[in-house]
Amino acid sequence: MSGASGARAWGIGISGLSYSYPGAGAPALSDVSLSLAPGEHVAIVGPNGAGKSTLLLHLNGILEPGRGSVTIGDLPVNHENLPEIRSRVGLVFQDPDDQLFMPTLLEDAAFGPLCQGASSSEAEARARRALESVGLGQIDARRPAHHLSGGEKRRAALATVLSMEPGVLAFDEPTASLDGRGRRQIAEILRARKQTVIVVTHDVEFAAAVCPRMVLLDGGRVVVDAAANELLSDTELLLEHGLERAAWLYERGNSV
Amino acid sequence: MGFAHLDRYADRPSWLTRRTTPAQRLWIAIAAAFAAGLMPPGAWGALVLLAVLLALGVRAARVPPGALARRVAQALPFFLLPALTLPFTVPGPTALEIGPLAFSGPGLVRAAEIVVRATLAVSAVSVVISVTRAADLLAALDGLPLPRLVRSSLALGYRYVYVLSDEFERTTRALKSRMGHASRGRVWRARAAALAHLFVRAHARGARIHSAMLSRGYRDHFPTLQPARGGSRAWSVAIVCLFAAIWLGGVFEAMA
Repeated sequence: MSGASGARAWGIGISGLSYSYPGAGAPALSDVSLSLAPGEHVAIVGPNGAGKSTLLLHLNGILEPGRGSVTIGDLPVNHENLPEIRSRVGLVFQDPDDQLFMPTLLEDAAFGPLCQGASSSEAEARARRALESVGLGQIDARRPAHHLSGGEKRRAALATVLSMEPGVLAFDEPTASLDGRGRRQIAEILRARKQTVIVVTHDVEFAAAVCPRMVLLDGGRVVVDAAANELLSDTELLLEHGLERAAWLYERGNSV
Repeated sequence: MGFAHLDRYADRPSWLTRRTTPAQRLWIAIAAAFAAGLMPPGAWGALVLLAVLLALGVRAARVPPGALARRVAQALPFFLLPALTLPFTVPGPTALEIGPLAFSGPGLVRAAEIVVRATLAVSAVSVVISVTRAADLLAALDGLPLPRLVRSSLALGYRYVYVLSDEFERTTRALKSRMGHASRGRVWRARAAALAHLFVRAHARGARIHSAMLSRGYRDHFPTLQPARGGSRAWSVAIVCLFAAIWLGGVFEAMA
């Protein structure tokens, strides 16, 4: 990935993080502590409502911790550090239509660099490199996003943060609504990243394919933090927390 | 409620798109719309001249007249409704009586004039919008002294009219699929319910888009790449002068 090859990978420190949405009864996150080394690829898995996306939104300061702290590299996530934090952490949202808000792909990919203070020519060059790096270099970058397929939109959304050359890439459900080929393309792109990668998903097989380490989150708490293969082989634990491998689902379906 | 027609002729090569930049086309639209809109009453000769120029423009732009008529028809209610009151409010001899309704002659002429002027103005803008990519138009708008907020709103509006219309269609389809052989009234109620859902969803999407913007470093303004090439300034001035001359001719014609 030429667009972000020079980006420095940052470690992530999450300590005693708790968060409750206003008006909600139960906390979305309770005393979550995690540490990611620079360049490490980690998947956060768990059922719907486990607090995975809430955790992700804390990484670049979209949500402020109710209690506890988050650091990116040596920098705590707080109001004063937000511009630098948002340069360090590239957040890819679940729905690409939320991420692709500009009239053309090129402007979308250039939005981050321009906000970082890059000149127009530099922002355009970085945007084009990022689009190239996700396999969209051949398509007309002045096309609007609504002319793209679902898989292309997903990759374009990734390009919008790669152009910012972040040291941390955070993905919220990167395979949602994708077909098999789209999942494979995203997996290949993620595996090739040199940055720290954090993937939030309930697709455990995809998570294991791109991340050697997996953290199981449920009810806003860390249940298990283990090697992906180890967690993937613990059928009972996965079922207990609302997760299933597709093959097991098939076998169970046949046995009913 | 689809909006696919907005982009239908944007990439179609034509004499107009080859010979003019988007900024110059924007000047044509603005000058023609102002000339038609500000034409004084009784300047029929000038209006005919504008209509001839518009017809030549439609031919040069290769926009099918039927497609143009459909676009203009969408704006028709906005100027037809006020015009309809004129035959009853403008004093003068009665020219037509239908039952209890008496239409004044001068009122009918004024109403026809307003409809013609508005049709010419909307047609000129529609032709230019039809053959110019939205991104190019927005870039051309950067050359005008418009508030940034207007430009940002237009950019987001263009992008999300497609996303929201897709959502509306999906919701309507889901509602209709559960209604069986419903009466037309029930179908319209379902569409109204879908529209209400869309409003709530659009609000939630707006919040997510804002989060996506913040996460890429957005602070207080919408950065854009360099404005598009404006083309020859003399050409733009000539266009404005041409339409100003036609308008002046109309003023003298009305005074004569």
